[in-house]
Amino acid sequence: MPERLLVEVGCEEMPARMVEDLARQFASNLSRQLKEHGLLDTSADPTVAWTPRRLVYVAEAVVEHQPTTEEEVTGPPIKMSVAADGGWTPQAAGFAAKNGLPPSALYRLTNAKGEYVAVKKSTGGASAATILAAAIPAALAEIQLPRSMKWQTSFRFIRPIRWLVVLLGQRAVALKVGEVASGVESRGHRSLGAARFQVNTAADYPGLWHANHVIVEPRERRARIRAHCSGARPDAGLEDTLVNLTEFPDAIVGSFDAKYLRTLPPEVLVTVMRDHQKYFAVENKSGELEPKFIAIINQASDRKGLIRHGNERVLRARFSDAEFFWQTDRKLTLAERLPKLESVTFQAKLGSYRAKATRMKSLAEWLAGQWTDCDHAIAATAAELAKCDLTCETVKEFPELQGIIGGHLARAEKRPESIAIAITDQYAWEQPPRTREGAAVSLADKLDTIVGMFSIGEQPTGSADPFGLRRQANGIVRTLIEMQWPLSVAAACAQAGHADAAQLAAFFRERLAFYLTDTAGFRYDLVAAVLAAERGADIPLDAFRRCAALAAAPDMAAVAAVVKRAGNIVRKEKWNSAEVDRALLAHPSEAALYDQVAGLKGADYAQELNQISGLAEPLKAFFDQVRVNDPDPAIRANRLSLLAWTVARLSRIADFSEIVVA
Amino acid sequence: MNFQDLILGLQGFWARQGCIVQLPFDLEVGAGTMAPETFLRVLGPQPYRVVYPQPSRRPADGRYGENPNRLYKHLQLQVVLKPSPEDVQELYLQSLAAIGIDLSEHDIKFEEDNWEAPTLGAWGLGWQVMLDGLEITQFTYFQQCGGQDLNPISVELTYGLERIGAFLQDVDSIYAMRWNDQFSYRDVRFLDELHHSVYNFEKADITRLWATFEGCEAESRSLLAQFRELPTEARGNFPLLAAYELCLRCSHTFNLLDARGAISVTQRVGLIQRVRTLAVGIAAAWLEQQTEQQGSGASHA
Repeated sequence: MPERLLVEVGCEEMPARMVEDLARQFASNLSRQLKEHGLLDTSADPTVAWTPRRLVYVAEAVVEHQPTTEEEVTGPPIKMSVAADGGWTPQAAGFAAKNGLPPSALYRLTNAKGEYVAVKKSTGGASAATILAAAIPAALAEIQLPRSMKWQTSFRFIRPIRWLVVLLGQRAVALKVGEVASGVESRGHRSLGAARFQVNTAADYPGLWHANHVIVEPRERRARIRAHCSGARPDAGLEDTLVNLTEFPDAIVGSFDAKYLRTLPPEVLVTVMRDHQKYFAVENKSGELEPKFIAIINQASDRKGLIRHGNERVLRARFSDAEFFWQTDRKLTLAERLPKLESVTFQAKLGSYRAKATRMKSLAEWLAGQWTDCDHAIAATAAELAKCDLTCETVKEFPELQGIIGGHLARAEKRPESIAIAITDQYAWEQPPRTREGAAVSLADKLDTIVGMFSIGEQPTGSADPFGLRRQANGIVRTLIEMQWPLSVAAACAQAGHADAAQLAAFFRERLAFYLTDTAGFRYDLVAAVLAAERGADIPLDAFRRCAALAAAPDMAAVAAVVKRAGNIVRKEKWNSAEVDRALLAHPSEAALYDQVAGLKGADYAQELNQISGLAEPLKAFFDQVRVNDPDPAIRANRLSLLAWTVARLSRIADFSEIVVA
Repeated sequence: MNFQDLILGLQGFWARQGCIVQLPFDLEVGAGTMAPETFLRVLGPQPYRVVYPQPSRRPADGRYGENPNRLYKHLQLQVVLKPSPEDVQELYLQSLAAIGIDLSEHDIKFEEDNWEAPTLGAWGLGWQVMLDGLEITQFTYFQQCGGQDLNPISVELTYGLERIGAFLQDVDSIYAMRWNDQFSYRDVRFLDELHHSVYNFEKADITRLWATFEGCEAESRSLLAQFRELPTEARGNFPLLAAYELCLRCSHTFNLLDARGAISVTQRVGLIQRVRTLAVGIAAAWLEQQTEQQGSGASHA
């Protein structure tokens, strides 16, 4: 009779950021094996659940024995199988033995090719217990772990495995993983449940775990956490962490001295609460911080208020530390910090951050001049001061607040808000800078790093990108496109320093392709067509606009096909000239083609593409009616030039030969 | 609970679990792990259990006795269990009960924390144990030490005594803790923090510190080279423990130079590598010496 299978792998606390993935890998490995062995219907979708201390797998309708299948196996021809005395030859007996059967199982079989011996062989039929005993350890061993450990024997896992419960219906399945033998004993919540409890049947799941204060299903823990978090600043990442850090979550609401709302920047308060203490910050209706926090505890309640008291104490100490750092930092202005940057190394061969600040200043000034409505003086000052907060105690304590602290210092010393914003937005990982001056500073920083690293041979290779240059270039591309800044990357790189221009162009082209396909979601072949076009990849905003026009253009397949054909002829002939003599165009079709191509001039890319798609017909007519290989060499040359010129003229927006025609 | 009762309580608990109660190691170390009772004992196959309080000096963390939460020299209670027992987490939680922490009234979490000491060529996986949001213990399954893969695996528990003490006494400043009924933590330790902060940040002579670093390194390296040249049978009494102590002096001198701001970012990596080379060399030599001695011991039997 099909039964429910329950597997619980009990561990010491697994890392919160990994446990979901471990549970899913385990379940998928195990399901695959059970389905391959015919124990589980291929359409079955077993339950996957986990807590920090357990991976749980529940499959319904697991059969107790593998289905048996009978298969007819044909052996040697009958004339080799029957001896003179009418008995089976050694050859026939050998065939039977090979299939695990006695000679008595042999029988005669006639098919289209003649008469043979055969046996009926049955396969499968192994018990579920036998298969599980091998499949479960294998499913665990096959989990891809970022980093594994040993604790006793040679078996490696993310953290020590301490117990295993494997039940098929009411029957315990015996197996071993490393030194741990399976049993029917599970463990409750560390302080709320029974240290050990016995599981009698797979049907005890999940009730018995609940009774022991273990909520195995992560979505139930999430619901409990959400129920407690009204007023909390929404934070999906923190919520995930807490779901995976608790077996029985509850919440406490703590408070802190409201003076910190005035004496510390809000980002510092939130960083301490969220990143260091895993607390939710609490906001009022207008989005301002309240002097409160919500901590998720792995406990049923805090009757005496001890947990709240303890957490408030820790937060008080952290805020008081941060306040000390912040007050110390405010004793020096950003400009007074500039000389201190001399002793902060940017890169051994590229010098200190002081040197970088000087380079950034002149680069930001140049960049601001390349754009309309971008204030040179603001950009230059902000760029020069942008790295000064690296010398702050607050930034040493909270490195994730680089830039943000600098912005607050600029504000505190009454610099223009535009400078504060530009300093704050220089990293711009999540979204582009809010202002044009901010974009100039952000670009100056990233271009200086990239060009500098390329100039000393530290460009990324393969998967190695130790300085995160790809991410920096992604930031540049994104800023240029999303802020609609038509900047030439080559010109900006040349301004930033001396490095191999071709290498830099190839590097940025790859980053642009990544943005257009992965971030903007354009079809791969359209992106390739746009980047291969005459207008190229140098101005990311222009490439983006061409890509958008091409993606929105009505069917370009017909023209793409004929342009491709023209391109093939030019390539095959290795034809270099595109000098067309209008007077030599004798045939009306070629003259018509020439005139239409020459008349191309769209007001924008969409219009030009529309005109190009109208060239499918004249091109087709040319191929149908005109012979390129004219006996007169001058006419032949002129026709090849016409094709070359047409292909080049049509490839300014996109290289149609890259477009995949369905 | 007075601060000294906390130390006595934890020592007593672990003594009952079969740990040797050791005294603090009598050289400057940055962490209890660096004491030979951990660094050398976790190498090789011999089972061992030990508990000891260890003053740990981190010159750059000094705050002239003014910061209520940060110290130049803090006290760790170090426990090493080799091999790692199956119920080690339960034992650890019982040790908290032994110092009066009722787990049914508090929130305990084991949060991922992977420990690494680059100067020691050591790393392990484990947790920081959080009690009501306060990190009270580093709990580590040592995987490698001195660059050597470990077998068996040891568990290292490092309790932050000042934090636990201030928590138990519910005071906001470490200095306000009662050490015993008559004396506060301030009475016992304030001058220590003040004088060493002044020395570490203002007075330590950089030239002489460099000379100390170079001298200790040269002596340790020379000892290791001599060990390497000896025939196996003559290695039994070779002073590798002295070579290790010289390596620890290098490490502390490095920390002093760092606090004085005498080490640039580029120099830093190189210096860590130099200390690590000593630690890794000594660990390998120590294992050889131990194995050779056990081998010869077996042949005499």
